[in-house]
Amino acid sequence: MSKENFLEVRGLKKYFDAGRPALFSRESRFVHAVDDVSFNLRRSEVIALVGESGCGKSTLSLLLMGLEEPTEGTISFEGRDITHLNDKERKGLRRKIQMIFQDPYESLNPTQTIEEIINEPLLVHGIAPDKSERDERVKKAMEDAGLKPAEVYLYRFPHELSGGQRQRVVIAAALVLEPEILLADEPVSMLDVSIRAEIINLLAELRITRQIAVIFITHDLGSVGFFADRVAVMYLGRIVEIGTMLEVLEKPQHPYTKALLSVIPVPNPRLRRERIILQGETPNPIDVPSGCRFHPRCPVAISTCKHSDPPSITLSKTHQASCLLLVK
Amino acid sequence: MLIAVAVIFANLLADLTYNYLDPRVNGVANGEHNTGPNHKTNGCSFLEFWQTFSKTVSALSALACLPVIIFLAIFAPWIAPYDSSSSAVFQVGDIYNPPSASHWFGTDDAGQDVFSNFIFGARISLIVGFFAAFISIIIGGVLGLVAGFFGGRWENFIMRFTDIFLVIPDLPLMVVIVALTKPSLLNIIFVIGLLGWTTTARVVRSQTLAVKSRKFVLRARAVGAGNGHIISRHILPLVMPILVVQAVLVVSLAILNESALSFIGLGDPTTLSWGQMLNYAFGRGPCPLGMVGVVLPRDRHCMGGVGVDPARAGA
Amino acid sequence: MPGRPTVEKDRGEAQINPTKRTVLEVQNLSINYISEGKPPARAVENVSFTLKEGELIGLVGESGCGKTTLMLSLLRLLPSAGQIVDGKVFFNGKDLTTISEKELNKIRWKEISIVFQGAMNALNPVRTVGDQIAEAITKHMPDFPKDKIQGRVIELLDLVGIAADHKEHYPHQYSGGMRQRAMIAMALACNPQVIIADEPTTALDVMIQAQILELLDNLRKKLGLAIVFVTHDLGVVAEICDKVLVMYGGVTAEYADVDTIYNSARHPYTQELLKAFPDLTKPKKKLSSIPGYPPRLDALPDGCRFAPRCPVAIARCHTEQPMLHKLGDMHIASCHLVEASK
Ligand SMILES: Nc1ncnc2c1ncn2[C@@H]1O[C@H](COP(=O)(O)OP(=O)(O)OP(=O)(O)O)[C@@H](O)[C@H]1O
Ligand SMILES: Nc1ncnc2c1ncn2[C@@H]1O[C@H](COP(=O)(O)OP(=O)(O)OP(=O)(O)O)[C@@H](O)[C@H]1O
Ligand SMILES: [Mg+2]
Ligand SMILES: [Mg+2]
Repeated sequence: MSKENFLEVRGLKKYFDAGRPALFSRESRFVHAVDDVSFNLRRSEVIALVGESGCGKSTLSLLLMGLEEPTEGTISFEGRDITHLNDKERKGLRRKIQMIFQDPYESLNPTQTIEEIINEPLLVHGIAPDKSERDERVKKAMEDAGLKPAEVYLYRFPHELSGGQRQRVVIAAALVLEPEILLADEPVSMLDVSIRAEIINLLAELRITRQIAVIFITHDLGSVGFFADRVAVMYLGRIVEIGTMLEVLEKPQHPYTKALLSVIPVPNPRLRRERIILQGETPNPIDVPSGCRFHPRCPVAISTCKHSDPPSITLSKTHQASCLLLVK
Repeated sequence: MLIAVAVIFANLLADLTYNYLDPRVNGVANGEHNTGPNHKTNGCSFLEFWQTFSKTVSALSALACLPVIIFLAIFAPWIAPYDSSSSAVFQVGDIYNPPSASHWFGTDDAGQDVFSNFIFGARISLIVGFFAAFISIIIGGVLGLVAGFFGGRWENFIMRFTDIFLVIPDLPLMVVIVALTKPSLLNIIFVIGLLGWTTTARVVRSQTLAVKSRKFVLRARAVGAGNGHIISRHILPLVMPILVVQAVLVVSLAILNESALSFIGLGDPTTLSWGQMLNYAFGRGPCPLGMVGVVLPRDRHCMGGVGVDPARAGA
Repeated sequence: MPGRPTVEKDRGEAQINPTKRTVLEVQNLSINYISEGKPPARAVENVSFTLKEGELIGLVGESGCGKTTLMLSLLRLLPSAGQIVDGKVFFNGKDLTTISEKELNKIRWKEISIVFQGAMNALNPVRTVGDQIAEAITKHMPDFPKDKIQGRVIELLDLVGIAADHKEHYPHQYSGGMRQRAMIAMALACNPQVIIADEPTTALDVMIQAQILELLDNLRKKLGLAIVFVTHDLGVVAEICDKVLVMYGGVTAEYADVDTIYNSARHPYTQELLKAFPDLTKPKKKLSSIPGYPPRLDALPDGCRFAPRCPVAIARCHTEQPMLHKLGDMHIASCHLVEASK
């Protein structure tokens, strides 16, 4: 099996039915949450998926997890098509692909103890039927996730933990299944800045010790810059630029990427720079603009941008961006 | 009097628990949460519930009363000063006696000790209350859970069905059914139980919907849990508190319904419940001296604090 | 390189102008939360700062360090458990901690207004945003001519960059950033001199955050507003603030102008916070984090409140509370090590 087709996403689309615009209109409208996304993830690679709120990042992660059915497109894992699976096949796959959710305050059941939470995946999958073996695995996952010593936390309830600790519990519950891919949906955006670094360092470490591939979703490129191998920038349901971390950070080509990079806060007033602040917010994904979807907010748009949808332009072997200005 | 305390207790407990649940339920229902690192979650353990609860003196004293009532009901033969079923030794001077040292609440038209009847009456009322509530809670709970969790066509069907039951006025229907069938204890329990599940179903459904949309349920799915596991481990524990509150409410409602049925003469004639006492007091012409016999059971309907007093409405 | 920050002609130099009038001056403010049967929780202790006309001060600290408490106390809006036990708050020379409630009401909202933390999620969902702004105007200025209210609402919305046709929309039709703008518009309703913005960008994405920052920056330039910007993110304030007050567990850790804070911070907490910040100018560098958690108010350490987490703490730090040391004209830090090195 080649390294390339570990996780492969081709032309993935997810349209949500948004109902009819008016009571008597015929056609119902769709939210183009994810609109033709393709990329591949290599073994133990970290991809940062960046974009504004509402651009479809969470939807994409739910599609990859099989928690939403794609409208179109294919997802394949280790060469096998996993786009549509029955419950049993899906369950088997869950051991390989796990997810960390955005909000550590909401993603733990308040009535379960930490031990029950981390044990749950093992129970559900019937892994390690022997109690002592299970305890062993639970402890190992907890310590790997930085909850040391595990005994202190085992019988606590989520509300007795801080935000950072809760996020570690969520990570431990994902690790206990020993997945090969970890989808992290904004794992730190709800946390205090002083503990964000802990969680990011933890993920960076896991990727080395456990060879886990990570898709790190965030709206703040600054928070992942240092450990991602590649960066994919998403705008209105589509990836508009993808490249290695250095390519994207140092030579961003898409005007949207440039804007995103320019607004990352820099903790040094001497380095204040001209920020490219896009006005307005991500447009409504129900009425995707014609032509290039970014043109209404693009500071450098030209007239052709209104009509033609830019193709993905290859800038180097690893770097692609979709912008008409790049067409030579 | 005791039942008054019990019903007040039930309402109190319900209020308290609703208050305790409210922020959680609401927080989920409107989908808003204080995002950001300052997000403070509402503690959800039973311990915290208990801590709030135990600080309320009235709630605690009410809680203490419930075992007393149950105790009275169970040990009625030993507690009651007179055997209510025997009318063997009864003389003319015994009827309609005012309260005295030997007859605390006085005596009724049959010369029976009202206080003893009252204690024995607790038995029937509680039996009917508990069993009918049990039936209601099971039906309402299951329907509510299924509707809330699976959604779609099932939900539509169940909720329309519930609506139909909800618009039928309970009491008249009960009266009709009991009148048509034999007015036995079992029939009364079934009728009350089978008609009283609607609010439970609605409450459980909305709570299920709220819990279902929470992130930890999605996380459980992502981990690979199936529907059965999610319902038993994630939905039920969070629906339970509301179900308990609902159960207490339904018990008190069932007791009132039973009283109402008995009062209008549709109670099991072989048993003596509070409603039956009221029925007798009215039906056999209360004597001024025996007012206590009327006032006492009536009183508790007033104190029951339930908006519509079915017993008086029936009369 | 477009993405990388570049050094720019002294935009970052502190814009502190000594000739400007002082609007708000907080002196040694201490606030306790009193609850029965427990010792008082010392939520804020001995905090001082000054705010001049058109100045923007950043109040930075981790969750629970007393930022909201401090801000609410300025206008005596604390819940009944919270009490100002010491200190003074001067607004244009008047001590807000002693004046009567009636006089204070003339200052609340009209002179100093607050954008409350999380308020953007608290807009009434069943009324239009324009309606709610109009209500804010009539509530605080009952004499405002009725026929001019709609015009004023449009003016306010325009000020915060919302098109007038959004006036009739309901909060759910607004995005998070727009709701926050509407809250700022409401705070501007009575032309205040000071705006306190309590975490206005937390939970918004970076682009919206940049928009709100730019908006506040413009407002103070245009209207000469003085702004207190509360945040837990040290990076955010670097962009627009003149001065920064770093709080830790209810006490001042460090207070200085923005350049000093970011380039020559003396308090270990400030230094650690800065290290925890991802810096795109140095990618591939491992982030450092501050181990441990902020102190609980009911179990404050004997010595310095930061000592249990401090990487350079000495024995004295655990037994003795540090004083506020003046290190320069506009630089205060509370650390024993600062004193030692003086
Ligand atoms: N179940 C759904 N039904 C209809 N629309 C949906 C649904 N889920 C998401 N959407 C819409 O799809 C778009 C993308 O949503 P998504 O949650 O993926 O964004 P996101 O990039 O994760 O945003 P954020 O940073 O705020 O989490 C949004 O406009 C959202 O309103
Ligand atoms: N009414 C209250 N009674 C007792 N303690 C309180 C009360 N309100 C707040 N506190 C405590 O005072 C401390 C400071 O709270 P405050 O809300 O000011 O923090 P903050 O810095 O604004 O935090 P955040 O970033 O989470 O908004 C916290 O430890 C909090 O637990
Ligand atoms: Mg998301
Ligand atoms: Mg606060």
